Amino acid sequence: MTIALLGSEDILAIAGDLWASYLGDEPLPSVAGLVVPEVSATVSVVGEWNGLVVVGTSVRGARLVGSVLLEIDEADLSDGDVNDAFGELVNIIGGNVKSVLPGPSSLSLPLVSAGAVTVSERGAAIVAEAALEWQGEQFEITVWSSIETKGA
Amino acid sequence: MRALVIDDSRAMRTILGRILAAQGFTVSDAGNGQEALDVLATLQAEDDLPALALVDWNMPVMDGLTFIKEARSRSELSNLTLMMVTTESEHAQIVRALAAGAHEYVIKPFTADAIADKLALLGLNPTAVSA
Repeated sequence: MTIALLGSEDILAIAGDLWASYLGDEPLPSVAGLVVPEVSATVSVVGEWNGLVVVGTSVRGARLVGSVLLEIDEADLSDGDVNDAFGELVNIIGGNVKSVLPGPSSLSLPLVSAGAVTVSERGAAIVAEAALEWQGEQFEITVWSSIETKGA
Repeated sequence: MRALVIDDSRAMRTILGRILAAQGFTVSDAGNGQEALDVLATLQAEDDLPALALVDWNMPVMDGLTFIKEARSRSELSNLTLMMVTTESEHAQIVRALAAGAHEYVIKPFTADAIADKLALLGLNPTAVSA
């Protein structure tokens, strides 16, 4: 298996399953790069394949995820609630992305941060990306490979 | 019938707790394997050990695989049914979890029906017990 087998349609399928299972409304496919994310959640994949899975969205997008997953009104969400829920979102997407990449490998715990995430490591490259719209908010999902990746 | 949800994500504990409550379980939760052992010790003292634990794999402090091995080594938890609920979907990982003592394995994302089906396969039906 090579990383060429991972495409935007795979990411959209993974995201579609996740949204259907936990978030209710089906997301719509969108165009990557339309907006600069205000919040990003990342997980690293380390092993036979090395890289990073990033989900970026607006502050409101992240809060919507938190509100639905935790069943808490948006106004009552703490930053910790939002980080927890948005982090779990990237954890599930990252785990499913990992499953179609060469293994064995392990997944890091999720990390949520303000702003967009760009991997500046020399040789790092985007291997797949997709975007979707849900509740009027844009969600960008990007898979970066590391220079350390074998067979990239 | 009590169930214990072990996951470092509060969002995932909420989702699983909701599903289990709908199935008739009384739900406790813990944020990692060590915290789960502490909760189990408390529940044992109250003579209220759970019949089921849903266990995430990747957690800080003590991960799910370590917890399962620890739980399986304790005679007082011999009746505890262990279901791994995780994003880890590689065949080798599933084999490791089952070999360590997990009775069932569910990959995230899951549906409520998928969890209910697994519980039925395991013969865990709180409604039937209390009827």
